[in-house]
Amino acid sequence: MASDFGLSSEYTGDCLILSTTGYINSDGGDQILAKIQEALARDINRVVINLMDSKVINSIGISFLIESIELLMNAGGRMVFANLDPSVEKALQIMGLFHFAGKASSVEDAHADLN
Amino acid sequence: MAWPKRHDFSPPLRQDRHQFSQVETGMSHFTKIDQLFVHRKAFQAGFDSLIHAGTLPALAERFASLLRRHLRFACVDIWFKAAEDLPWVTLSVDSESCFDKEDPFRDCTMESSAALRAPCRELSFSFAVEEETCFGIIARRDTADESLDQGDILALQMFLQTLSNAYQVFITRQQEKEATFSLNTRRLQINSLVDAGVDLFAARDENTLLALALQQAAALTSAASGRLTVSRDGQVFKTYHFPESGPPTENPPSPNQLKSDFEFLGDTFTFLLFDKESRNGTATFDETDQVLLTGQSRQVKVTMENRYLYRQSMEQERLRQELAVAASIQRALMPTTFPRISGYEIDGFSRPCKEVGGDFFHCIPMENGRQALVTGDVSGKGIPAALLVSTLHAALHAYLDSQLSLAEIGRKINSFIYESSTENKYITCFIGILTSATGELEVLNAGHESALLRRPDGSIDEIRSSGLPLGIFEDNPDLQPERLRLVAGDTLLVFTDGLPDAQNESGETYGLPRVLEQLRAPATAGELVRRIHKDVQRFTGHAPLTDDLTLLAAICTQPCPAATGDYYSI
Repeated sequence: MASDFGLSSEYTGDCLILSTTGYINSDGGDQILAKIQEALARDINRVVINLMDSKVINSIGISFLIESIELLMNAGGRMVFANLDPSVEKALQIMGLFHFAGKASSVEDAHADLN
Repeated sequence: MAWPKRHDFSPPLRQDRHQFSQVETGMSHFTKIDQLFVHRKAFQAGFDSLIHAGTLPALAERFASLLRRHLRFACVDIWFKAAEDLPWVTLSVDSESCFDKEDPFRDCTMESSAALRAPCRELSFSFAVEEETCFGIIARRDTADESLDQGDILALQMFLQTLSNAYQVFITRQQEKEATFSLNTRRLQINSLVDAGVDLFAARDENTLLALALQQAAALTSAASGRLTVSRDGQVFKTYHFPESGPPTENPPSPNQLKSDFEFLGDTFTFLLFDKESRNGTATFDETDQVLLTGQSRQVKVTMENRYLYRQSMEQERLRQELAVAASIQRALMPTTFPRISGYEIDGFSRPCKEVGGDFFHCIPMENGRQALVTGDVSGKGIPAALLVSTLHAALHAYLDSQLSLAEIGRKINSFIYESSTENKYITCFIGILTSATGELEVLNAGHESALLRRPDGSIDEIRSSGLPLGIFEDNPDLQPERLRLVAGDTLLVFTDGLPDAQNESGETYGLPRVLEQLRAPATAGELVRRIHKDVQRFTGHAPLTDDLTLLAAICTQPCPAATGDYYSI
């Protein structure tokens, strides 16, 4: 399948920061989930997802994010979204993700929120 | 093989002690019941723990932990099979044990007497929790530990019932989550469709709009990718891809496609979406997806129509503003006040039938106390006519300041208009040069309506055209000025054809007789002009003016000294 999704990750202390680019669909969601599972295996349960360069998300991508949030919550952790495009923010809002995850206007704010 | 029905090992109630104790176990009733009561709290605590497991592996892990803790199993391995034709999936494995045969639990169900026979140290059985859904469990105690007795088997059965109940809760929660997700997805889709129109309308240009529309369509239907083509007469001249890299291959085309198209201003816009995504890989686009894509496609069409109409409306507004400016400029070309000339009254007005008109009038002061009384009527109306009025205005000012004769001025202006105008454009024009001191009036009528001259005795003379309108041909040889002399009481009325041709709602024209009637009644120049204007308005009623209307009146109010020279007698 064609995909323009890109994912980069870095660990800052005990926090994983994921930055995405492009369409968050099944492929993108799966990659995010895999990164979070890797982090949990390293006992890292706090994650910032920087969505600055992702302007589109579909429901399958969102389902992977929900699963990621559940995994983190089951491990006593938390996820915070940063730099949300208004349309993506609205999609996550409607799908109820902000009942279980935070949002912040920057990665720094998200990191501060987790700490 | 058919999987057994789900077991129902309901926990015994106190009043059922006796009945429960009748189960043939080989143990004393007291001992069995006491053992169950020892585990009673463990059943409840275990259930509480199990129902909080977020995932199936977590549920299995917690159940294995219960068995290890309360039934002293050294190893507990748990597998799961979702349906009869699906393979076993590992959920929780303590030991290195693994399947060394295709199905280790075949014929080892809870119903088989061999599965849970005490005394033993190791159990291996499958346990159905749904019609086709089973857990497979292998549990064993260390060789040093004692064998399982019937009490342990009963307790295990109670724990299995706890697992079964917890699994039902787990499944119910999963279904609730799926239902909530599905409901929220529908809300998201409806919201996205509603918002699409607003977002699309705000797009800065059509390329951005169409790229955004395709992106929204793909997200709306969970398509992996999409393409939007714009074609005319079957020829595609523009293609948009989402993602921009586009579908990987078109040969062979993906059978999992969704299509919708619409036409706008002769172009066909075709949405084509590929590969609907699901958590299990791909799915097939369904009717809902088709409805969504069709809805999105209509939104795009409506947005494009609205943007088109909006642009049209903006363009019209811009033109209206430009016309207002043009009208203002044109008004500035014509007088709003008239020079005070001893012994004469001069007045006039011009009313265009559109924002700008093709009529012109003026009273232009010249050297030696002379005044040029001018009215002109450009063929056609609107902006083209207004432009030619400007040309006439410039030419008049240029040549009237010269020392040329009126005949020469007429020829010069004719050539100038001829060179400046397009084909079929010309100007009818009346120029009267009045020498106020003597009452001498030299007139040139180039194809214009006859001017009217009311004499003091009430008679009315016509000053007819002596040549063709200006600008029709390069030369206008018949254009010859005429000379006459105004005396006290003379009223000169010059007008364009918009006056006699003004129509009322019945299509009746105002006509020359009404003009003559107005001219006959005594009045000052200002009164005459206003009275005629008012009478035309009364006559036309609510009918719109079909032509520009212009009047210029000059009245000689006092005797002039006798002038020398020849004067044309009308």
